[in-house]
Order: sequence, then structure tokens, then C-alpha cells
Amino acid sequence: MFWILIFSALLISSLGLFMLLSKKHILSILIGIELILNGINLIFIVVAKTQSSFLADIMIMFILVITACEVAIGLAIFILNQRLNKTIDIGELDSLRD
Amino acid sequence: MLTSLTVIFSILSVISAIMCALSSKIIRTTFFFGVTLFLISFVFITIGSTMLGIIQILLYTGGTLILFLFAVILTADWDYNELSQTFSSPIKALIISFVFFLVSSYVLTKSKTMQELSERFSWEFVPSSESISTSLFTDWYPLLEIASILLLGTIIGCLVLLKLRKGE
Repeated sequence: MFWILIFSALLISSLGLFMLLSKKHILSILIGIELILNGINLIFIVVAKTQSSFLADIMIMFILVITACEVAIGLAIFILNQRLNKTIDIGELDSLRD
Repeated sequence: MLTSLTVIFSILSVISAIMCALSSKIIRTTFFFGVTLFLISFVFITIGSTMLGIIQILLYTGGTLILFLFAVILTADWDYNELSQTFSSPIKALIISFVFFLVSSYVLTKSKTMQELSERFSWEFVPSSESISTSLFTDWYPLLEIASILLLGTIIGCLVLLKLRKGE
């Protein structure tokens, strides 16, 4: 069971990494980051189960807060980019500096 | 019963994550992302972290998914039509993520610490919400304050970003 959960978490993280590196749509990239963090959360909680500790529960709650902040800022930049540059492509994001 | 449910939920979450990565339309990607989040929270619940699973469903799946859906609705006319258009360099990304998976799997399976931990994995330990809350408000209250300041900063940051106009 331990290894099934660890491999599932690693697969989810790898898929997140694939999305982060390959997608052009900013929302897909944000979803990729979320998948990586979810995989890490799963590894965290499975390892904590072996120690009979609830420390991972608390840490994951803080990770969820940080993720929510990252998503909110990311989506604000995405909507700003779409409004100003009329594009959803990550490659055009640097033109926000102008 | 719980073991088989956990296995089913974890396999389904991987399948849902694959669907999420291979969808061409952003609304489908968001849908499968939501399904993945739900399934991961069910895994949390079946392995005994009930409170965390419920928090994940209520705050994370609820809050984050709604934010994503708002962004999708606000930019509904802007999307790619075919899967090939959504990728910039898929082969390179596939190789990197596959190497990441292989290396991390190899390191974890060969690690003595992880092998010892795998033997100690138990279903018996179920942390109560009372013990988690007590620890959160006594041992971890500085981190709780930092999290609240971070959330406040995020709200202000988002408002400032969305008020920007061309040339400002």
C-alpha cells in the first residue's frame, strides 16, 4: 500500500511537471504546479502515517494556503495579460513589462 | 475494504491527472483537475486524515477550482482548438518528466530509510481534529499568523494587479 501511494504521488507530480514544461496556456501551467504540489502532499501524508504523526496534516494546511495565494496571483497576472496583450500564451508574458 | 478503496482512488487520480495533461480545451483540463483534487482528498480520507481530506474538498477544491473557473469564463473566447496547439515543446517535457519519475522512483525504492518506513506504515493512527487544532493554535500559531498575513498580501496584490492599465 505504501509503495502504491508513493508511486501514484510521483506519477501525479511527473504529470504536473510535464504540464508545467510543455503547455502554452497559462492556466494549464498553473494547474501543472498544483498537480506537483498535490503529489508532494500525498508523499508527505503517507510518510507521516509511518511515524504516527499529525505534523504532515498541519504542514499540508500551510501548503494549501501558499498554493491558494500562488493561484490567486497567477490568475490575476493571467487575466491582466489577456486584457492588455490579448493573448493567453505564456510566451507573450514578458510584454507586460512595457 | 479501505485498502482497496485507497488503491482505486489513487489509480483513478493518476488517470484523471493524465486526462488533465492531455486535454486540448482548458475547460476540460480544469474539470479533470477538479476530479484529481477530489480523488486525492478521498485518498486522504481513506488513509485516516479525515480532517485534511475535508479541508482539501472545502477550501482547496472549492476555492481554487472556482478561481480557475472564473478565469476560464472571463477568457472564454481565448482557447486552443487542437491538442497540438496547446504544447510548445512536448517531447522535451516528456523526456524530462519521465527522467524525473524514473530517478525519484529509483532513489526512493533503493533508500533504506524508505524501506524501513514502508514496513511501519499503519492504518491505525487516525489524528483527531481536536489534537490537530490544539497543536495549530499552540505550537504553530506564529506560522498561522504568517499565513494570514500572506493571504492579506495576496488580496492586496491581486487588487493592485487587476487595476493596472496599459502604460501604467
